[in-house]
Amino acid sequence: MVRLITHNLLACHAKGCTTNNFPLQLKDVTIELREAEFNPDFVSGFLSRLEWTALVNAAKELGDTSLPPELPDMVDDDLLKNLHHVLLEIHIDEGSMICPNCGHSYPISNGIPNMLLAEHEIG
Amino acid sequence: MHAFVTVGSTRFDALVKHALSDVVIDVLRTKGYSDIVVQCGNSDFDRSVYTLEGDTWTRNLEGEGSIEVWKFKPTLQQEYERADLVISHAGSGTILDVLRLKKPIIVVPNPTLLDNHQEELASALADTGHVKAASPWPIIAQFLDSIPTGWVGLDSGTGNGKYLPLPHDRPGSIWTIGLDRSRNLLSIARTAGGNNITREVVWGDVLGWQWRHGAFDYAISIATIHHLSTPERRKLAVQDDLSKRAVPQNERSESHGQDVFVPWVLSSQPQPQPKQKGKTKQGRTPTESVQQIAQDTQNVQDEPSKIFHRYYHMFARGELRELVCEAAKDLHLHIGPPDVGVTQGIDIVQDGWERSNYYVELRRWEFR
Repeated sequence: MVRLITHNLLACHAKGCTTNNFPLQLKDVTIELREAEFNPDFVSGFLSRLEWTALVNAAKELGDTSLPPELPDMVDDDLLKNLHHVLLEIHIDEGSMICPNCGHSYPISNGIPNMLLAEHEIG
Repeated sequence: MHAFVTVGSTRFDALVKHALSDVVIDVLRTKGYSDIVVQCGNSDFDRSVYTLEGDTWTRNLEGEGSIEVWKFKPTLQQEYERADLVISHAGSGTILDVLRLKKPIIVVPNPTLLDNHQEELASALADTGHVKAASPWPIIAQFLDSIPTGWVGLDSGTGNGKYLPLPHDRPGSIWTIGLDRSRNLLSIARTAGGNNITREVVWGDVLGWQWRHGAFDYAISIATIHHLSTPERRKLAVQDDLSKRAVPQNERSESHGQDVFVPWVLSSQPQPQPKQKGKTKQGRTPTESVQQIAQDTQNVQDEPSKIFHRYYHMFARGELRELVCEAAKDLHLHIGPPDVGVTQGIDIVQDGWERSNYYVELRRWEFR
């Protein structure tokens, strides 16, 4: 499954593409919402290592505007719940992810992102 | 051929349920085991598809073969003798009886029995190569148990994803993302552990660099890097993992990346197949060996059988540790615990041999 938790970690790795290769842009995606068990300790523990702006923008592209543009100093339960939803309950089933730098397209099919490169694209 | 599944004198619902599942039955039949006998003890199973005759539930399989399920018999000796493969709980009596007959045995420790040492016995016998044990390797389970809540990690070469649901006693407290080159395996891995929980899986190459810098807090790589054909490629795989460690942006001065690598070492020497020389893409040195896995095309009788070539590198004692050290040196990482005057390095927490496999556990550290 590709959810925003994974999208927040993926970067383009095509030959020569080393800067501005994160975050990948979502394109023509179909999503499905599926409930997942809320674990506030996981979400608050993971918080400090998130790329916040990338997450907020990706969530917006998927129609979720529940996250504030800046990570607030005080993180309350509501924010943790919204974060949980954005990270773990929005499943991207189909579509693609495009590198903002080189334009390489990584397809997503049946919920599995394809990050393989052709022989000549490997750096 | 004949497979015999036994749970001993108590009950082991999970083993019986899985042994009777379509997936396992299909695998057994693919491997040539068409007659399957299950001694189920007091275990529960779905009896609706079976016909009860006397004390025995039976079911004929499509095509050839049948399944037979019964609770107990005064002695199982005859069953062991008749069997070409035994799948058993980790009871010491059963294991010894079957080993005496020199029959292959897969041991599944029953986790619901307390203080009966099934896990220890299975591990000890798996270490010596006498049995195949079917539970997650304790070294990996312990490692994942030790990971703090809130960490996100990578399972590089996740296969069917059996480590993605761990740790069992803190579900959802950490997320391990599975990476593999086989899309078929990933479609299994994405539901690993059941309970309607979807795992995160990514289709990609372990030599790829498809993550932003510092994406992961920990990584495991099990039975994966021995498939890479040259020392350079194996080193690259280790370096790839070492450089993906997270460096925290907060007040802590020491980073916390952790890795475990467990490449497989086959306990029996694989037979090199001269006729396939030159067919694999990557070059290899003469000391490295190739195992050929022949597998009949499933359920298609008219088609000729397919042969899959897979590459295995046999690790020698000390080689994995050396590989890791070389990989670290190339990345200008100090080897050893955090030290004055050094900014970053790797500490080898433990390395050794378990269940016929070498492993090494590393901690990546960095001062800012």
